[in-house]
Amino acid sequence: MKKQNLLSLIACTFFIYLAFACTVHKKLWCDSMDANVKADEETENFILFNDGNKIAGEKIAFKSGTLTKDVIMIDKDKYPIAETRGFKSNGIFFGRYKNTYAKRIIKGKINIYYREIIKHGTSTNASGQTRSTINVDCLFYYQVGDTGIIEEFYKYKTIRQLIQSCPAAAAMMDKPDKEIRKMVKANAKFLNSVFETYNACK
Amino acid sequence: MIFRKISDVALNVLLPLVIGYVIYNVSTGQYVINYLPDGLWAYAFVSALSIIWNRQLPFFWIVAVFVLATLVEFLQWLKLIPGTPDLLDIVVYFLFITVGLLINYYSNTVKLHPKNN
Repeated sequence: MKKQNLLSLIACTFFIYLAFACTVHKKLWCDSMDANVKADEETENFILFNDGNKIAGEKIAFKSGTLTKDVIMIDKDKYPIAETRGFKSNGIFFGRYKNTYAKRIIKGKINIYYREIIKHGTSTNASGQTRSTINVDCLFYYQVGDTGIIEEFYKYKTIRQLIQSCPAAAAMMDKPDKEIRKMVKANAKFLNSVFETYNACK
Repeated sequence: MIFRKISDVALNVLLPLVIGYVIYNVSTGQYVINYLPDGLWAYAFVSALSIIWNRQLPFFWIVAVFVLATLVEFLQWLKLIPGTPDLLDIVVYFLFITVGLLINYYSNTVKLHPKNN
């Protein structure tokens, strides 16, 4: 192989790695948004299906197994999770993302969802003692309209793209990432207010 | 010769990457943050390959730059990697790669026919 071809391959690998590293660089962390949501007064529990139909009931539960598909249960009726768009339980709506559900924390033209993944692990300190650790990973999702696909997001860039049609919301995000990060640290409801401003935009 | 190559790499590869990084973290303009760092990345990419090939980039590698530059957006579109695919990102990549190739062509012409320029 010509030396120049080899160098070109190395350069390509470096630049693609750089592009991937920038793409997956997370900007949102657990406290980036206020995930405490006030439950609706209407507390009817229901499952919402992909075709828009609803089935109401009292108790919502889940069942999964190695040989069976994951299902969501309302009272005693079982439905494959993939057939549902979401469910409402105790006044809080959860939207389906792939084979799991995320809590809706903002409702409007853009819906925002939140999910926590708890990871259990072990760590060993310098003296050789092993202890169990718990790490929480927080994921945020957006959905354009109530029937749009729920997508994961973790960058301010995505937020800017989503809200750019609303000047008031766009002005709130028209700052360097560093500054936004400071504002989010100082006020956990800052990003919530950006989406709420967008949702209130005419 | 080596000094010229080092300064070429510093000016056309490292500097655009550093400027892109600074813009991404410091700039305020929406379009500037969203697109200029991507464009500078594409420019640095095509410049790096041009420098490796002494400003005589073979057609295969020109195509490779265009294909690889759109790969990230395409993988996002296929949902194989997280992120939001954006058609304008691809337009910016193509624009900056073309600028890089034109500068490469100009540098090559100057080098081969110094008296004519």
